Amino acid sequence: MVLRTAITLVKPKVLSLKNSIFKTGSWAQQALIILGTIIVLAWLPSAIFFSVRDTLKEFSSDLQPGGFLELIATTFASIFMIAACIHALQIFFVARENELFLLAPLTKAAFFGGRYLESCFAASWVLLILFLPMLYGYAAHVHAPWHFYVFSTLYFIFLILIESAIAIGFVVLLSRIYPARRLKELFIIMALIGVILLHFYSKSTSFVFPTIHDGNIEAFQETIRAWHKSIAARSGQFFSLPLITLQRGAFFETIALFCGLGALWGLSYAASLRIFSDFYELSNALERWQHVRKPQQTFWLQKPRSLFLSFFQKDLHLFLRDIAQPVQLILFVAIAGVTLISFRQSSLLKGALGGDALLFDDIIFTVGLLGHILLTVLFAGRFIFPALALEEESRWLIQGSPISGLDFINAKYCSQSVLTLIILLPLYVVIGFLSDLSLERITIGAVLSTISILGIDAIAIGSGSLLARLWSNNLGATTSTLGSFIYMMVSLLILPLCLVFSIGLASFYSLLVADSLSFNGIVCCIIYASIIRLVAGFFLRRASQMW
Amino acid sequence: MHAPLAVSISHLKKSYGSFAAVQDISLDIKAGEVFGVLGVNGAGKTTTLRMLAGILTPTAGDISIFGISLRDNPIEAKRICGYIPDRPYLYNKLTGREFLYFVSDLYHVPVEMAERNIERLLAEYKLTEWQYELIESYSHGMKQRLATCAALIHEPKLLIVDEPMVGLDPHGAKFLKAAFRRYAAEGMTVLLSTHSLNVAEEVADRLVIIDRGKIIALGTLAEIRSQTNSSLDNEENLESLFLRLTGDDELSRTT
Repeated sequence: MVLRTAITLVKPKVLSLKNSIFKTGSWAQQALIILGTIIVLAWLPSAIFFSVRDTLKEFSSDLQPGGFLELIATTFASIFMIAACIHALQIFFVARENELFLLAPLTKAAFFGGRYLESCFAASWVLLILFLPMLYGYAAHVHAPWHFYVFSTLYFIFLILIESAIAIGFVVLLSRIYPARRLKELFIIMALIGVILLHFYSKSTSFVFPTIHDGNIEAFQETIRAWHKSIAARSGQFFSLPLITLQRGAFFETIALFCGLGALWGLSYAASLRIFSDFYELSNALERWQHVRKPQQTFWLQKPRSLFLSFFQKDLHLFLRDIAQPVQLILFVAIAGVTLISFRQSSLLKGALGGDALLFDDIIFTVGLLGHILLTVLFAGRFIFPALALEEESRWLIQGSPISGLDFINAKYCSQSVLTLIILLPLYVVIGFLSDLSLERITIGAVLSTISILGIDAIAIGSGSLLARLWSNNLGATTSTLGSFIYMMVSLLILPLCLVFSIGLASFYSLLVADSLSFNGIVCCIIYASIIRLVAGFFLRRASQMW
Repeated sequence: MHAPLAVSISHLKKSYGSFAAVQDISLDIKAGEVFGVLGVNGAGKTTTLRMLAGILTPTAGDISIFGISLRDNPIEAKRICGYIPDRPYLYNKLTGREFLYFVSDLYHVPVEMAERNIERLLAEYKLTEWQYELIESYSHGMKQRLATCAALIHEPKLLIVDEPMVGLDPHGAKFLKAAFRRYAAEGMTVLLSTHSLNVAEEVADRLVIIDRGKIIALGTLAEIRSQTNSSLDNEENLESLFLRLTGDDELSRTT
């Protein structure tokens, strides 16, 4: 009954996916979509499998037993728990079709079962594509028998089933005390607390920046060792122990393990169903905070008037009022701050450099700048890239108004760039001061960073316009849907371009250091800015043509 | 003396692949009239209106608004148009007033005029009390009224309205019908598509009935009656005319 209901409930999604592939565009476009999907789905796991297998060969003598399995199992279990919570929220509370399903003559158990299976699948498929090849890569490295592949896959499936049940119960309970639609923000705050804890924890174990010797392999080994000693890894043994058992291949142990897992699944499912039956209320959880009258503070300036200022004010108001966005931003800042301050505090690095303060500052400067650019990329991927896709819904308003496509794109670009600069540039300067960089280096870094931000934002706006019709507003919350997965892959294309910029930065930096702030350095900055302006101009023109 | 033309459409076509949503539509709309566009679902009403608002580009044909070609000079043409879609998307995290500021900037409305019009429209559409609250807290009817304010903020000469009565309560519907008549009396041209035949009958000076992307009747109600040789009687109402023209003869006889 539950399975039949599950199939019925999932059917609209499957049919929609089928129709979106086979009933849109010409047969050539359909073939291209199918081929592209197959290539992505085949390439990604294969690349992970071979890189893990080949990398592990380098560490065969130093790898501690079970260390890698712990890393995989713990990471998978932790990420999946967050994904399962977000999907439980999405599927049980946010999904519009729930109203339709709740109208149907279904028992609570059947509804729960159907949605539970969908939640398991939706939250896990991307993670399985990433983690199973890692596991298989390890298995190939240790020449594990065939049954290890089967049983370890089965173990992951049990993990998914158990954690999904726990996540649903947790989310339903939480929705009783906190409005369901805002739970996403709560999860992000929890992740933020996690990052802060990781920072304090990393200081004690030197996990973030272990002793750096003369080679990368040693550094990686140190990381693994530090990880292995950590509390997280010790708790990770809980998840990896079954895999180590499976690797031993003892018959009775395997049977006992799966019996235990089965029992745990039954227990978690029953508990979750009970919580669901007693506490689930779609309308209460959602509508408690909707239609709340609350006058808002506005800081909308009426003068001076310009299209750019208008878009900027609109985007700023939307950004600040959607609490999830500033919280995610704080998360970015926390990651950046923790990383660089940890780096600065690493006496091991100074020791490794023989107390060369200038070289130490150079490294801090370069790594800080590269880190800042990567942070800009992350920021652009999350906030700037979807900016045009989000305007898609207001197309009736923008296109109906007397502004040209180029004016609109330029206004949007300027508004987003100013927003990025306001947020990220002070961050760079503050981190520079915290790291005791000289004023000269901070100034050079800030100029190069500004130029890079302008370039990266233009690329993000331009490439985002390619997907303006693919409506998706919360990349973080829906990474497991097919559309968002493709969306994410395309946003990652920005990365290689930015690395090219970074290489440019590093070489200009060496010139600037050689001549201090000489004429050559300034010329290099101008050339760099001009190249980025050209790239940006190209992307913005393309964007305006597509809009 | 003839009234100047507000809208002139000639040989308008819109195709999506092999499907022709609008096929060779030509018509003129006089300034200051309320013009109704009728048709069954999928007849091509919204496509036509979206082309008139400059949101969709026609596959063929031309549209001119007060003599300005939408193809050659879209910015100038849009400057004198206001458009209200059937399901307007509004920025949920802006307040009503902020949204109107934003729209007035899009249309380059001078500050004093924007302030004056915002006050007037918010009061007229009974939104003053809600102006500092987030749009997400508005009801459907309030959102529809706010979209109407946004379309009027720059004092357009042509107002294009797609399904204005969707989701409105009887008070809201009555208010809007009166408003359209008043705007027309003040010289504004109102072009509205509707499913509601009594709205069209009550408000529109002239009508066009579209079926499968083509015009099947055009004129005042009396003219349409005479064009279609209405043999039932001279008082045949719009509903039965509509049903007969759009192919449901049996239903038309029962009304």
